Amino acid sequence: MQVARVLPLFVAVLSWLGTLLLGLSERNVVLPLVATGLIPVGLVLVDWLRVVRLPSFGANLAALLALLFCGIETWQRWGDESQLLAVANLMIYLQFILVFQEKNQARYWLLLLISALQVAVASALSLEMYFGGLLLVYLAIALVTLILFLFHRQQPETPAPPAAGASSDGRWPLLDAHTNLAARPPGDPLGELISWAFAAQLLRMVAATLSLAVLVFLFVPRIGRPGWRPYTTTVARETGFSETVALGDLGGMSENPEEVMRVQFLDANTGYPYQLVNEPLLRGSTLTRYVSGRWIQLPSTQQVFEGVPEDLPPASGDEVIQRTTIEPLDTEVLFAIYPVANINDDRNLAFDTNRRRLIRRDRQGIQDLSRTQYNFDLATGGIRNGKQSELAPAMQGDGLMLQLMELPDDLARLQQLADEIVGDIPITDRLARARAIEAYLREGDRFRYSLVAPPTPASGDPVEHFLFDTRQGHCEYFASAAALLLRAAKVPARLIVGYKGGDWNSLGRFYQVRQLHAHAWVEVYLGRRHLPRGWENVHGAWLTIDPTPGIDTELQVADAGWGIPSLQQLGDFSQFMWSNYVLGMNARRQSEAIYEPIARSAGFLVRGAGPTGFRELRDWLNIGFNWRAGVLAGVACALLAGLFWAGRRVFRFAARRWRRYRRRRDLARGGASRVDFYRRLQELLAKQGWRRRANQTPREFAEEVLARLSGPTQAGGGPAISQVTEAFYQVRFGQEPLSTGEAEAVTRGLDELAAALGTAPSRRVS
Amino acid sequence: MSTLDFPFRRRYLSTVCREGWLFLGVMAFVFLAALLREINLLMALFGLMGGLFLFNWRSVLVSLRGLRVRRKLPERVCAGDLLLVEVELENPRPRGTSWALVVDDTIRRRGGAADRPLEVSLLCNRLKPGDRRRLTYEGRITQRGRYQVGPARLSTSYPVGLMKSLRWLPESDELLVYPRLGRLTRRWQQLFPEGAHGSRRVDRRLGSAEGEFHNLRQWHEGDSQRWVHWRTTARRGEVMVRQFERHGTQDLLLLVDLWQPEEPDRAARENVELAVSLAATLIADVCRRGTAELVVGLAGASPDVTSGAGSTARMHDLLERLAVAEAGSDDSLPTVLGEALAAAGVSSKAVLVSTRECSWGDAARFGSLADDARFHALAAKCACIDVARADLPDYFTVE
Repeated sequence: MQVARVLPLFVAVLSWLGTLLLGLSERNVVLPLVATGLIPVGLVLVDWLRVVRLPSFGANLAALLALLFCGIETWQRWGDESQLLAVANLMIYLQFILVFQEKNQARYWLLLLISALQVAVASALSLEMYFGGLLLVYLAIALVTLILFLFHRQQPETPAPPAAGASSDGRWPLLDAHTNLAARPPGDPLGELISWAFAAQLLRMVAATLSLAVLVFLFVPRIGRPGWRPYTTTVARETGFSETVALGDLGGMSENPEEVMRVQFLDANTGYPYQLVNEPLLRGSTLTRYVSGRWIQLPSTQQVFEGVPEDLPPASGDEVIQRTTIEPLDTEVLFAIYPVANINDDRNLAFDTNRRRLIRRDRQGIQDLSRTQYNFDLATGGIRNGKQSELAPAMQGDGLMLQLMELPDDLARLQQLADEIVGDIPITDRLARARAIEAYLREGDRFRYSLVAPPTPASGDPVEHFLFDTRQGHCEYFASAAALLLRAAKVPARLIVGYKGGDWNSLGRFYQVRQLHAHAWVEVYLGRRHLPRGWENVHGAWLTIDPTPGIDTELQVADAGWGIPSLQQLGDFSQFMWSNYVLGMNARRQSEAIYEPIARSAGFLVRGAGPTGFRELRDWLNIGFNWRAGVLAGVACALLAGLFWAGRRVFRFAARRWRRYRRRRDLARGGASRVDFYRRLQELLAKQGWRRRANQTPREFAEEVLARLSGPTQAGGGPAISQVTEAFYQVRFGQEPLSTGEAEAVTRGLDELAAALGTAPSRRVS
Repeated sequence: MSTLDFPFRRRYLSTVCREGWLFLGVMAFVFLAALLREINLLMALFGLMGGLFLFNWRSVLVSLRGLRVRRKLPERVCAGDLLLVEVELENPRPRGTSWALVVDDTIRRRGGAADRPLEVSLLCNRLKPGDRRRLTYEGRITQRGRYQVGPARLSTSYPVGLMKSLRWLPESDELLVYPRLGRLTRRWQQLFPEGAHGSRRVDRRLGSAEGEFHNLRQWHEGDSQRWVHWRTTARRGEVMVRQFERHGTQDLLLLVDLWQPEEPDRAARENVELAVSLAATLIADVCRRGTAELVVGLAGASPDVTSGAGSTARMHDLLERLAVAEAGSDDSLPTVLGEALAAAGVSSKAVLVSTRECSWGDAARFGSLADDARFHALAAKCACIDVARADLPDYFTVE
């Protein structure tokens, strides 16, 4: 097989892969399918069998038609992405045309270039992690293709053998005689490329290219503004979280493990991410109006968006940064532990003042960012001593709504129950009343948590139905009941929907929040006079009430364990890294994760190993290095290295045994005219540094070696050397094959020599 | 064969190939899009492309490091004959295989018209550590003259052909291309006027260097032991020696008149080449046959007269002179003739190879020699060959 025949195959694979990547990014299966059919046909008929080819005129015409088609397509669907898709499709059409043309170097280059551009467009459209994997596959195939192409284009033209006396046909045979030079062809390189050495080199190339790519990726400063957000990404249906609550609608949907977001809580001073002592309650929407079993948001005649405050209100907790990467959802609501402050002047964070919720939308409310993956950092004031506090200061504008006390008139039984629960607790003691109602729903065996929603009553209120009839339900029932009971007890309350907890990933030190973590709970508003001592400086605060039983709020700190991360954790961690440090790499993250640590390291070097430098180094290690992950990685590397070493030993041992078996088999067959035994002798002697020079006969070589052998080595190996050398002369020059006995004697002699040389010190014949 | 060994320790030069510029263009596009719109996957792609480019750059630099190149070629070759040049590549490094090495060699004519140099590219697919590879190119150089082989260039674009690293190998070899040798036909002797053959003799003498094997005869005093034919001696019981014969060892005066007009047309230049080729063929023929005295007068841009016994060394000397001989528009033949007559013997056969008709009675040209008896003797026996004559192919052909 020649390079000229293999190259079209690799170019075809690369073209197909480019189309596949583009098709996957476009969510278009048609073009990759067409490519899967057309490209192999073109490869076989045009490149290999050479029975069909598209003439230049036809190709130009087809290209023109493709251009026209794409132009019309762009005109009909005007927009950033449409233009890009039209260009991408045009490249695919041109690729199809080129596939059916006879290939020359220019056309090969064009195909490779188009493929690279396809990948470039696909990169602009794709956000998925699998794309990274496919990109690596593409890189490996591209490398091989480019290498083959290099050899192909450097092959000298098939030389016409210089004619004797090369003369011209003209009138001046001596003047016009053609002078020509031609290189003798070097042989097809494919045979040399198919080798372990080349495979190893290819691996090194991929590794080196990747390493350089990582460096370039990490260190090229991000100076642009994130304007491009492909919206072809599949938008996850929000099955767990909903901005309105209709009791009875949840069913079994809440067990959906689809990822919603990854959340980290970082100490603002050290930047070190940590796990909260209790499960975080990430507030999404607030629901204040209850009508016939449905919680709805406040009607808003005019949506008002404003920037998120840049400072936390007084009496906030620890200085903690909430770092979130949220996937594309069908809601623009963002989730956080309140109160929050926009510390990075993120212009895509807005606050819906009517509905008291944080959304991803620019302040003018024009651009909806819910269909894109989004990273944001917020300062949160709701965490104290590593634990989300039940009481959090209200943000400006909170708690002034009469709707917090609204209660439908037809809930007489509920009103009566509320009166029973709060009993003689003074109306001014909202805190105690709230605790009593929470305890009523949460403690004891009165109510049971169930994901199966109780059947909706034909008449009557679903909450009363839950409280007095079924006594089982999911979090929305408990939260709704609590909110209405609180209002009946003259305590202002609202229903909160969001997410509770998440899967803690100890590798990446983040919470992986999924749809199944959707939750509903209640917040009670406490005015200044209802607040405990120490909260005098705030105008109000929200008390979190989670009346749903069966879920522990207190968690053990699992950080001290040494458990091996599960596959799911590894997957989540990969996704986290992909989202935060590949897709989400921006100027700020680059500064935090790369530039600043380097600057700090440089600082250590400058300051030396003095006490200050040592302290900083220790702090830095605490900040940026996960000891557990480091040890695990070290163990994994050691295991891999050990496996590699052992595998190599086994392979070499097997290869030696195989060679020995082959030699013995050949010798046992009568030796024929094979001289492998002499090759083995040379190998044995070469290990001692004795190599036969080009001007030495085998006998001279044997004499030289024998002269240099000494002691036991000479006694053990000397006869064998002479014996094998004579046998070599007999077979090689005498054309007399060794008899079975002779062959066995030679093998025995070589074994003895090997044993003798094994104890001999190495020495080199000059 | 001459061997030039030039260890390869010159400064390298790295260039971006045409394909590399295209690649850089795509990279720039990707980079700008990634940077301005902050598309990180595009930045990753840019990183991969950049990584590939940088790896290519490093790889081409490392590949050429320490390589040795040797060229082997003959010192001289006749125009139109097959020339074989061998280039040996050696990788003395303990590790690091070099791939896709290209040696670009050039052959250009020294002096004269600045012809386009001949170029040839040799590809070595793979050169393992400690390995040597021989690459060969061949060809036919059809114009006589002195040629410079080299400087050569060693380069590689491995692995992906985006960047090329190259090293100039400044050492060059000289190659002398003799005039093309033709063939004298059987009718060649008819060109000589009657009487020119009178002095031709056949010498029978002993010794293989003296001619072709002729016969065996009895041993005489003074015969070398090397000439003894032992088998016949044994058969006949007496010492027999080999006898050799040498034909036509007559001395020769060869005059080559390379005249051309001041502004020569192609016909005139072709005639010059034909005259040189005929003269070279005659010289080679005479020198191969024996050790006769050979006087050669070359009339052209640089008039020259040489004399000496025919031998291989003399043949090479004369062919070298002819290889670089240039035609002139001045008539230098009378001067050359005067010097040649002084050097040549009386019994020499004389041949004038000229690019134009020659009349010995032309007083304007040969008036200065009118009183010289040797001139008149020469005029009587000299074969004048005008290479422009139509029937020349009947006597001499160049294939």
